[in-house]
Amino acid sequence: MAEPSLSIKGLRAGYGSLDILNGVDLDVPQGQFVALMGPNGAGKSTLLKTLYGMTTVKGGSINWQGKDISAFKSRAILAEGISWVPQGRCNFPVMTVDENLQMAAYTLRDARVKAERDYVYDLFPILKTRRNTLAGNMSGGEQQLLEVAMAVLQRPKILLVDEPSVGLSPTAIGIVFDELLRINAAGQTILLVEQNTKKAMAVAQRAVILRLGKVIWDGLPADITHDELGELFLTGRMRGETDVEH
Amino acid sequence: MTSAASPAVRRGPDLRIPFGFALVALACVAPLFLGNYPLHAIIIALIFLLPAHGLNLLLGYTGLLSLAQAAFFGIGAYASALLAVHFGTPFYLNFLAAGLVTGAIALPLGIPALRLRATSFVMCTLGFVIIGQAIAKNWISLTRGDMGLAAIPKPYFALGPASFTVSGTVGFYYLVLAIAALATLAVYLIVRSPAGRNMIAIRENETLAESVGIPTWHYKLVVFMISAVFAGLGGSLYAHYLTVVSPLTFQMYYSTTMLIIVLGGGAGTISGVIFGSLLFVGLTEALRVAPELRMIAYGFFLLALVFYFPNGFAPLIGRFWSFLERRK
Repeated sequence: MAEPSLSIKGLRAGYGSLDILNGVDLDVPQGQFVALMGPNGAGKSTLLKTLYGMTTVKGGSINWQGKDISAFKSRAILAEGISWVPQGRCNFPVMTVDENLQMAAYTLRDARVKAERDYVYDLFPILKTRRNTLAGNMSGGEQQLLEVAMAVLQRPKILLVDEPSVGLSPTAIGIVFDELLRINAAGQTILLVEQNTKKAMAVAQRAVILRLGKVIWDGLPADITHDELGELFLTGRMRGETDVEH
Repeated sequence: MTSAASPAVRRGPDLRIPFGFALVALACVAPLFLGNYPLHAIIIALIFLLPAHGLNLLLGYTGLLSLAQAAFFGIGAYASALLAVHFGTPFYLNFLAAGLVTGAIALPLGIPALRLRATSFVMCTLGFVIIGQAIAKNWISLTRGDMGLAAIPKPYFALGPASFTVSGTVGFYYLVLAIAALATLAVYLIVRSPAGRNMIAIRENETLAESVGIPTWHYKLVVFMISAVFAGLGGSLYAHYLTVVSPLTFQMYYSTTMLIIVLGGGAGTISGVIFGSLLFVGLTEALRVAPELRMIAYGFFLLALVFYFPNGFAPLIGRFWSFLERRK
């Protein structure tokens, strides 16, 4: 395994006085496709938001390529090469695909905006055919692709993707995951949060399971069955194991 | 927000500019065939247009519902009145000072208020109006309390030895028309600029706007200040037009009227807000024929509006533009 580019140690974070993450440890090497799973309220989305500087960090560290970024604001994190695809339909619906990509390029210099937009259109040709369509008038799958494209446009070193399958048809989910696999094959590091565990386990190289704000399982998707996964989600331990929570 | 109503998505030749000029031309000759009373109603509508433009920038374009317009309207009116009464400064100075003072006061009010979310922010802005009225009522040594400040001189311009006073309704009409046109142009330039697009991005999805790197907090604060400046300038005109200000200038009535103008006309559109201010001020005046039924009729009108035009009249205006474009 390569040197971890992202190294999270004992991370505690939450919203205001509410703690969601209670000591998360996680290393993500360059180029890996990691699926982050867990029951509702486990802190999956909160972990992504924390990595993107949108929660209150109470303790621990987030080391990103040799820098502790736990106190960074979103904008600085974006500049460090971390992009975030928020959960649900998260675009500007009254703007066209072109305008959405232009907004996504907000932090870039004008000269680069066009080049990066063309780069994204090469990556996702379907968006090019829809460039003058209002984002809100596209299908859910197309909107999700647009949202991934908006994050990829920054040429991030790691892409944080939060539940891309929410509200999508099975076909659309298939398309979105195929696209994620494709950009991962081209070298894109991806940290994916997903409720659709079947789909996530099928595409990811590594599965990380979060429960009550802690990593409780970390390994290859092939090493865990869906039944065991369900067991972990519900009880926090595998069948036959003693309770690991206390 | 309907797509037809959003200037961010408008394509092709813009017919609104020639139409706008035609409207201004029509407005310029209006005093030739309108009596004093309709002119008075239009003056009030054009004065209200300023705070409404400000609220539209805040609510229609940035997505922040504020009830503070009455507070800034009152501050502008008092700033102007105090200067005029105590120092006898000319109108244009009072007018500019009213804008500056309101903008400056909006800064320390906006910083804590904008930290609040949705409903709390609305309640906070409502508080500004109540506090403003309390100060106007109780700081008697400055504001003369409920007595108000009277005998505010009519706008008077002095340039070197030349000077003139805008006294009649027609004169004031032209003054207000010019200022309203300039304000409309300013709003147009703001919403058409990259900043305007960023404001719309904040309205559509603040989290996403923040995540792509837009300094949303700074934008909201600046737009809050600009909207206050517009309200302050409107207040100044109001004071010089009525020649008297009292704590009633800080009424919630003005905040709700601005809200009705913006929402009824069409939040996020300029033409909708212009239409809204003329319509709703006109309606208030027209309903004076039946004073006992006035507010009931107004209420029914609002109900009908909500049922039949939930997005205000802007979609209707939008259809009118596309009708014109198709005929071309």
